[in-house]
Amino acid sequence: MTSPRAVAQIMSIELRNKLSYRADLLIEIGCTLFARAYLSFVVWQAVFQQTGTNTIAGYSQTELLVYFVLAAFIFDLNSINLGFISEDIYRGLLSKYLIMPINYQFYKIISWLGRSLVQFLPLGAALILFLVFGNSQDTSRMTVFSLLVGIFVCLLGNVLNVILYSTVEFLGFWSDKVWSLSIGLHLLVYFAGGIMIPLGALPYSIGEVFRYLPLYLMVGFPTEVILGHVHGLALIRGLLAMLAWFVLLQTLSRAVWRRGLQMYGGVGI
Amino acid sequence: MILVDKIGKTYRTHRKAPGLWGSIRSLVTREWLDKVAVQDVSFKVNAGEILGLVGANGAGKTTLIKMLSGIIHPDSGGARVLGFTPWERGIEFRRQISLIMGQKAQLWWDLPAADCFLLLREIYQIDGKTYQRTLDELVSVLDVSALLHIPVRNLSLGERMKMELIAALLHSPKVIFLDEPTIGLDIMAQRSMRSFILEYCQRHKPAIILTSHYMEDIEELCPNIVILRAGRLVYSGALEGIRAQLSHTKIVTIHTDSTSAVPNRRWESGTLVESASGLLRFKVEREKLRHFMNEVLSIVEAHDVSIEEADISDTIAALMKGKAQPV
Ligand SMILES: Nc1ncnc2c1ncn2[C@@H]1O[C@H](COP(=O)(O)OP(=O)(O)OP(=O)(O)O)[C@@H](O)[C@H]1O
Ligand SMILES: [Mg+2]
Repeated sequence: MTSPRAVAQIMSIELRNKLSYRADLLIEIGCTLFARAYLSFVVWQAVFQQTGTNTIAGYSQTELLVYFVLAAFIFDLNSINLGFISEDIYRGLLSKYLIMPINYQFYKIISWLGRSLVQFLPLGAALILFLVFGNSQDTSRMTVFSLLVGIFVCLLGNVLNVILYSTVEFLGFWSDKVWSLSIGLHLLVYFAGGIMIPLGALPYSIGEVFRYLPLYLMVGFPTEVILGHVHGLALIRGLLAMLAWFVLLQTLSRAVWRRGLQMYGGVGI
Repeated sequence: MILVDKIGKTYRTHRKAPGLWGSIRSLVTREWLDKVAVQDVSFKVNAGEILGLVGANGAGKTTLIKMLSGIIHPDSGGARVLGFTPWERGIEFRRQISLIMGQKAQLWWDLPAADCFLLLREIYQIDGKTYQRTLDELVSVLDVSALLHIPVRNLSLGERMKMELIAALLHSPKVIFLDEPTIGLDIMAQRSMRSFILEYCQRHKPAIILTSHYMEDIEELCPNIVILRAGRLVYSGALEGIRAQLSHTKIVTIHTDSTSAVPNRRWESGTLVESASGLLRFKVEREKLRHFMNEVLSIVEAHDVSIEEADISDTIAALMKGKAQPV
């Protein structure tokens, strides 16, 4: 329905928008990267020294350090600005998109991806650096292949994430205060997404439940794939789970959208 | 092109008592407030025609336009626009309509107009040649070529409205909704907006629905009008219909010091419409004018007298307020 050129146009606009603040962007990425790496280093150093083990859930100390930084980064990538749809509904900006021959949700997803594309670039660069220089330890399992597959999974997770959030945000048709739900969801991802620590380090039953929730599939899963800890069957199972969630959430969000649109009053004009 | 059949819309909002206590209470119980915005309205608009939609603030004009452009669902009646039901929002329908809201910017705030247009070109899938031709034409008529690369948020209101116009016309819509396109524009800009709309309409023959609180807009652009009062239709037909009714009515204004005794009098051949200090105003039928002048001058001591054609906007205003009967 929407032409590839329209998609490219929308993405390039968002990209340019984001790049116009590139100094801020670099500083932000640089600072958070450093802070997290430092924090993670201190924590794992202490843990490994205290317990005297070599690996936790199959990860060496260096890998865990990279895991934390990477997962936090992917989590950021997935952090939607609160109200990215409900604000449009609340302020009536939605009206302008409703009269255009374009699918609003699709437009939002595309522009979101356009924005996060900028952040993929430093991610790729950092990982390649790690691959080349940081890979000397015999414990590391990361390869060029796992890196490429992982970034692809990360992109899929991004799409799943926008769909999940847009379902929640569409509740803005009924309530003015959807942002609290969005924050709740955000915290939930933080909690169950495998950000601090790989799921394997959690008690087995809890880890196995989280493993199939979209929260983990969006953040922890791509991280583990990139680091080369997910192969073969586990990888396929994860991808299938993503697909299932994709279908389910998309069906749900379409239904919510259709119902909501009937309630929409087009405020503000 | 546009067929509206007994359409109606009731908004449902929850009412909140003022203050903190009201907010807290509204968490527990919600009081719903139904607001009838449009009720039982029917009319039609043909291709190449501009229909003026007139009514006081809150009369339901924008609501009607929101329904006809597919933004909101009505809850009674129906409408066909270009053969489509608007609120089904078919792609083909959306490709052929346009909506301009004078009160609300629709262009992307951070982008220069040129970028907005490129994006619209892709969204509406306008082919390259047509796009360039339409854009060049609009840019030169509206004289905005120097402003194309400035972010929209930095443009003045009038400049932005021109860009909004271009954005709305790029895909050569067959139906155009103009909700107060001249609001906030200076007199010159209003005039050029009017002549632009008129010329565009003659050349491209879209069906247009226009709302405006400026009578000049309506008088110059709209051969037919619909008047709404509190969501109900009170007049639908030619502007000339109102004018014709008026053409045999004159307004007589008398300047005098002795207004006090007058109001209670029963006038034989005219109607008193206004009585202020030092001034009396009458509505008189043309045939009775002579008789009336004799009558009034024999009673009132006048400094000055003026006789004018009745003003069409007064009549429309009276219809809007509900003082006059539907014509
Ligand atoms: N989204 C909404 N929710 C609830 N009530 C609304 C909404 N929009 C409009 N109304 C109410 O419906 C009535 C009609 O509003 P509408 O905007 O159609 O008026 P209008 O004729 O365009 O007025 P104006 O000349 O001031 O623009 C008003 O009384 C308004 O309070
Ligand atoms: Mg209005």
